[in-house]
Amino acid sequence: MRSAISILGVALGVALVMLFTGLAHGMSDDLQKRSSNVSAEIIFTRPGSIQFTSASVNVSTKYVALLQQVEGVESATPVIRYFYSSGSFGVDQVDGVDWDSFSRMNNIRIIKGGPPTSPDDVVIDETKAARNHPVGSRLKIFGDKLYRVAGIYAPESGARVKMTLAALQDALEAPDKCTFIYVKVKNPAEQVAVAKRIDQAFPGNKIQLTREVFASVENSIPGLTVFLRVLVVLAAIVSALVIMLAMHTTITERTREIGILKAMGASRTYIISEIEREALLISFLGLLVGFALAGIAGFGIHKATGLIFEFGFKWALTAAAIGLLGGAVGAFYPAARAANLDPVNALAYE
Amino acid sequence: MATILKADNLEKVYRVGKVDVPALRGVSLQIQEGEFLAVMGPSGCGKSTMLHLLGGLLTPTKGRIVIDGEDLTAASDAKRTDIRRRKIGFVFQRFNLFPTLTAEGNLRLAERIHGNGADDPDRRREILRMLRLEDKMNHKPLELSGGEQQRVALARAVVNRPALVLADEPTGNLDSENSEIVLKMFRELNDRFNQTIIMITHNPEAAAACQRIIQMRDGHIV
Repeated sequence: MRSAISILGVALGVALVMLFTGLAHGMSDDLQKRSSNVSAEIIFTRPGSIQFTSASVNVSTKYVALLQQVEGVESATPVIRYFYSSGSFGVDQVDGVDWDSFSRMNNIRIIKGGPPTSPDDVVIDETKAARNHPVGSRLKIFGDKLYRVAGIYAPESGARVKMTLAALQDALEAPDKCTFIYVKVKNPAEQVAVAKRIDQAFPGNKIQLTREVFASVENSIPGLTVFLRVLVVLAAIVSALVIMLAMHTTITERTREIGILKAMGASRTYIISEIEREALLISFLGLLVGFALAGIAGFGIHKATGLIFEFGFKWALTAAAIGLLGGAVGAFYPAARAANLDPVNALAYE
Repeated sequence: MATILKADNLEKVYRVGKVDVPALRGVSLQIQEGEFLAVMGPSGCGKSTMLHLLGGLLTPTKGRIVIDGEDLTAASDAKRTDIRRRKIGFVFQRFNLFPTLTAEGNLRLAERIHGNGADDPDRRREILRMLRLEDKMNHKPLELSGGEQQRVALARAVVNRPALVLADEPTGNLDSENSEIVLKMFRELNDRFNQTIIMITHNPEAAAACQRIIQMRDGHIV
């Protein structure tokens, strides 16, 4: 029973590390993947228009035509990005796009159904469709209003749900406005020069290269790396304390057995190594249970909320090191205490 | 016969709070190889203290112990442990077997602690056969009677061929029938393998099985 609780204690620490890092990396990689399918090289927007979980609709769509006149620009397409509560957990996004220009620029095609045409139409990507949203089904975005899934598009890019720009402008009461404008240049090798030209032509706006914006979503979330490291340290401490407590109790309960071992001539090294071996076995089993728990929890969270869990090999190794090292360090003090027990007193222990 | 154990003027004083309590007051003893010796005396006379000193579980306040040519009293704690591992086997009144291990497992543990690649299934089988335990090899202690458990403990004590077996009231927890069986095994070990045995007992019949009896009183051999 005590061993089972110890295994669960270690498993908890390992599962926490795996779950948090897995979710952080899964979400980050998912964003990265969706972002990488954007063909536009430049994003034209207002400073502060897009945050991690919110966006403004304050860029005039008149800029689309103006941007297309800048030397080196091939095309421009406006996008409204709107964040809404997904109901079960966290926030989701919907993009309002001019479907024709957006799909042409980013090589996005409808693989089932059709493009959004009416104000009540949305198209979704395959991941969203796999969560029980077939073509023709209904989707809630704003309050109780139901939108019809008109089609499924691929590859996934930006928000999973897209509707017409006009529909989203209407819903947000922001006519002739968007959040940002994607700009595709004629020659990608000249994107920096084109960006400079745009900046000079329309000062006061924010001109970003998409390759820089999406270079590392993970690093763009303030404090995420520090948070993950703190979590890892906490997990290591939890594992070490659980094992220390378990081994301390073991030593107390087995005082007499340790006395017998000493009477049989077991050296200090032998006793320490036996206790460490037991601690490592508990830690190893805790690791396995922790990985399983993390996998089950990650799958459950994905099913329930759509958040993506990624079982990272590097973090699995880190979690394994934490579990085993925590167990070994935690067991050392009780092991050393056992090795120094007086054999006669230990043999007389009731 | 060679002297296997020599103890000179052993004294042991325990410190209880601020009071010194003498347990042994100058015990000298010499045991020959192959001897089967009984130590008798009333409770508190120092029998167990002497046995623990001879086994290196305690260090004397004064005096000297030499076992099979090695000075136990001059040795460090680690060296004493090493001598105990190589030269001494203990048998306790309460058997002190490891409950999660089988009879053979308890013997294997003793071999593992002894080290030097000691894993001799033939020796284990021979000992268990001699102690009439060959059909109990895979039984755990709780599946054995008291007499059988003590025989396993005896097998464990001798499996590594120690120079000396120290038994602390080995029949103290047994009924007369099992006591007789265990004593018979001690005698057989002594006869067949020339095993040197020092046995503490309160039982005159058990002591009668031995070649020599020493009596203790108030920390002295009388």
